[in-house]
Amino acid sequence: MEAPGVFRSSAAFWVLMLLAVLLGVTTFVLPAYAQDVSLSIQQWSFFVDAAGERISGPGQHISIGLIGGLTPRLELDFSAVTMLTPKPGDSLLGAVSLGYSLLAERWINDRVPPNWVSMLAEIGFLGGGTELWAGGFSGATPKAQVFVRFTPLVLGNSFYRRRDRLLALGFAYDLLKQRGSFFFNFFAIDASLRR
Amino acid sequence: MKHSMRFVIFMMLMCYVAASAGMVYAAEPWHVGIVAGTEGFAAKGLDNGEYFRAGLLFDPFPQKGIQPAWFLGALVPVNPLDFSGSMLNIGIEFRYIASTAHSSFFVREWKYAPAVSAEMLIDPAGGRELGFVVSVQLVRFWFGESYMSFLGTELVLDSKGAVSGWGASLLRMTAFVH
Repeated sequence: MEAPGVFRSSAAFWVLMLLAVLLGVTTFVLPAYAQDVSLSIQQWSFFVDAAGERISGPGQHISIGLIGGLTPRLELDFSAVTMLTPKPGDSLLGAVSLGYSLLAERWINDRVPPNWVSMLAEIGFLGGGTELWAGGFSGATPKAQVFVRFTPLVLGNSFYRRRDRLLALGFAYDLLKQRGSFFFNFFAIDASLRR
Repeated sequence: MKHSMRFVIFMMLMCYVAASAGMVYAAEPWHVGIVAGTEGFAAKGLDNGEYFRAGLLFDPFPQKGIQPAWFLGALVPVNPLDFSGSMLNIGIEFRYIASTAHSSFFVREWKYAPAVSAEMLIDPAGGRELGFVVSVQLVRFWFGESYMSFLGTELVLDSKGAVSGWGASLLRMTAFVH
């Protein structure tokens, strides 16, 4: 029996599956472990895939987002990624990722500080449109990627109300073109909104 | 000819700052910082990709009020990687460090420290006429032994002084080592 509608596309299927998993995790753990929210600013570098194409660019990219703590180790990150140079706003991508803190908890309680240094492993989804200058929202080139990312150096945490994530390397798989490419985040700055 | 004259004026300004710094050195410790950052341009003659900025900042004056400092280094296209597009730079900046220290937002205490700078871009291979970059770093902070600057804006001038485009410096860190 053939799957109807959107499920005929394996790309759309996997995106929906990933979103369902993220949503499921969120609703499962949030009531019990809701902790803190941080404002995040991050730099993105997208590298070419085997066909010589990038998710976006070449150019500088920046994201602004919110990170919510789900459990002492898990966090959920929602960000909007856009191009800064040479065409500001030419790309607009949404990123959602689920991260697991390695080496140390990201949060224990408001009296016990976690280890200052940690690492972060993430899975996520990156999707939206590029080439907005040429085609506007209706004529934008659609993008849909699932990704894994590893951040080897995370300094600080919610306890200290400030965290720096440095030198993250990610691999994104393009669901529309069935190709993979690497990306790099030189730095991310997270400022906790916790009082 | 005009270009040569600008270069001479620029070098005289550099010498002036160097001489001033030398005099201050007698009384104050010399401050040398390592500069690292990411940049991008939308300018004629410059690649559209990401550049990595690396260099040294010489900031010998006391960290208060308005003072000059100067810097040199390189801008290297890193994404896409193209060493042949690398540029050397030498420039002067005027920075202001506020007297009031704050403890909010960052873990460490900080002072607001905006800066304006002008630099000359030089092709190490000698084949390109590159020009100048004038930049304003309004979101810049002083942490006691380092500067952190976000979203600096840049005006790119060609070798004749005409505007050829613009640029942005997403992050520029300066960590003092001496």
